[in-house]
Amino acid sequence: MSGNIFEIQDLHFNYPDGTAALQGLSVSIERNKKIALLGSNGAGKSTFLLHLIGILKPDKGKVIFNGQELKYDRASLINLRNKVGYVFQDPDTQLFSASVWQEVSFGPMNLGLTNEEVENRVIKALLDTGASHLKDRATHFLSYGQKKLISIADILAMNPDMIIFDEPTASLDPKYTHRILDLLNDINERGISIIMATHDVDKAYQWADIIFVMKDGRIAKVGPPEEIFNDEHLIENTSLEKPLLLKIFQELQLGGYISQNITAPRNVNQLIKILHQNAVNQ
Amino acid sequence: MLPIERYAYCNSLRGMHPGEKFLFAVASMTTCLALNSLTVSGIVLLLMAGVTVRKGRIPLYFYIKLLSIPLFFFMAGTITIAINVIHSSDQVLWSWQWANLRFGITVESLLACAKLFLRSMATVSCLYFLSLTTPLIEIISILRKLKIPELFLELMSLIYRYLFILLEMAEKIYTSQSARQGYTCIKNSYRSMGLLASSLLMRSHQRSLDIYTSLEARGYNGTIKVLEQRYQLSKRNLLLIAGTELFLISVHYLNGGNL
Repeated sequence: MSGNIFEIQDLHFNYPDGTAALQGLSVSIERNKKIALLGSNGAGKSTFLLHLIGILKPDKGKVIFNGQELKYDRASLINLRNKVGYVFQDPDTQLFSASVWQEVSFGPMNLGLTNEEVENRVIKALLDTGASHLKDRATHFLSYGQKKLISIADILAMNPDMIIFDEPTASLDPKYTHRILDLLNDINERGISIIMATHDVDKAYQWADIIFVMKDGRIAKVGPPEEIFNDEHLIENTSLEKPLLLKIFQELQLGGYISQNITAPRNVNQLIKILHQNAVNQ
Repeated sequence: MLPIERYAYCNSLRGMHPGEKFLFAVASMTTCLALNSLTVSGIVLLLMAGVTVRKGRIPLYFYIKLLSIPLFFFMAGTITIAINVIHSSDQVLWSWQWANLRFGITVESLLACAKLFLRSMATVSCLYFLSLTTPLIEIISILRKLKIPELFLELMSLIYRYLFILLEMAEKIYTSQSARQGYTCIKNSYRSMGLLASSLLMRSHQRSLDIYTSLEARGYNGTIKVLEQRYQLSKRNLLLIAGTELFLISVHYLNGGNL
C-alpha cells in the first residue's frame, strides 16, 4: 500500500486534571520511514503516540489510519491495534507474564491464529530480537536490557505494519542501545514503519529519515535531520541541542578547515572519511 | 531474589515434564497421608530429599535449612500430642502429678507423636520437591489441564508476576528512605514504614492502569490467552512413579500395617 499510514488532523486533548497536552496537532506519517519524535519533557510526545493506537481519544480532531477516519468502536480499535504496535518505555509495565514464552505469545493469540502459527511467530520474534536463549527464563530474572528485547519481541510477533517506540534506549547501556538501534533498522528494512520518541538528538540525527519536533502540544517542524538541525531558530525555541557531530563539523567549516560545499556527515565514520579526504587533498 | 524461585528455574529436573513432577509429588503425598505409617513416611522423606538434592542438584545445605523452617513448628505442635493425661492402664514412660491429675508420656502417645511428625515432614518434602524443581508458571499450566477455573488461574499468574515488581518497588523505596535516615530511630521507622505502605498502594494502582493500557494495546479482550509450552511425557518416568507408589503401599502392608 502506498501513501501515508496516518493523517493526523488538528488533535486537541486535555487530561482530566486540566493539562492541555495536545493543542491542534496535525501531521502526516509516511509509510516505511524511520521517524524520530523529539521534544522536551511535557511537550506531549507520549500523549500523541497514545492517540495513534486509540488508547486516548481526542477531544477534537481526527486520526485517519490507512485513509479511513478512526472510529472508536471495538472492531476499529482491534483492527488498528493489530496493525500498529506500541513498545512501552518501561518494560515492566508491558511484561505481564512471568514466562517469556507466554508473554510473547499473548499478542498473536489475540489475533486469533492457530496454535502452530502462534508458536512459529513466537519462535521467529525471539530469533529476530536475538532473545531465543531467554525462552525458558522467568521474566523477573531478566536484566533491564533483556526485558526491553522481550518487549520488542512481544510486538514483532504480531507482525504489525508500524511500531511505535516510546524512548526505546532510555536507561540502556551503550551496548544495548546499539543493539536496539540495529534492531530498529532491521525491522524497518522489512517494511515496517517506525516512530520513536526520544531525547537523544545524536541518535535521532544518525538514525532517522524524518524528524518530528514537538512543542507545547503541536508539531513545530517536520523534516529530514539535516534540515531540522540547521534551523537555529527552531533549536533555540524548542530547547533542542545540536548533535555533537554536526556541531564539530560546522565549527570545522567555519574555521576554514573543511570546504563549505561538503555535505554534513550523518555518522562518525562519514566525518572521519571527510577528514581523511581533507588531509589527502592538502 | 527469593532463592526458592531461582532453584525452581535452574535445577537439573527443569526439562522433565511438569505433569510428571506434579504427579510424583501429589501421589507420594497422598500415599503418605493415607497410609499414616512410620516407615512409609520415613521412606517418602528420604526419597524426596534424595531426588531433590541428587537429581535436582539443589545444594544439600540449602535444602536442610529449608526443611528446618517447618521442623521447629512441627516439634512444637507434636510435643503437645505426646503429653497426655495418664490413665492407670497406660504404659507410662515418664510422668508427673499435678493436683489429682497425672500427666505424662506413654508409649502410645509417643508413637502417635512420631507418626504425625514424620508424616508432616514427609508431606512438606513432597511440596518442596515440587516447588524447588517446577516454576509456578508450569504448575499453573498443570492446574489449567486439571480444569481449575480460568479466572482463578489468571489471578494466580498475574499476582505471581506482580509480586516481584511490588517487592522490587518496596525495596527501592526502602533504600531511598534509609539513604535519607528514614530508619534511624523507632519513631522515624514507624513514620517511614507508613509512608512506604501508602506510596506502594498509590504506585500499584498507577501501575495497574499502565498495565491495562499495555494489554489493550496488544488486543486484550477480557481473557488472557497465552500459548503453553509443550513438554514430552516420558513413559519411563511415569512407570517409575507408579512403581514407587506401589512399592510404598506394599511396604506398608508387608509391615503388617502397624508402623
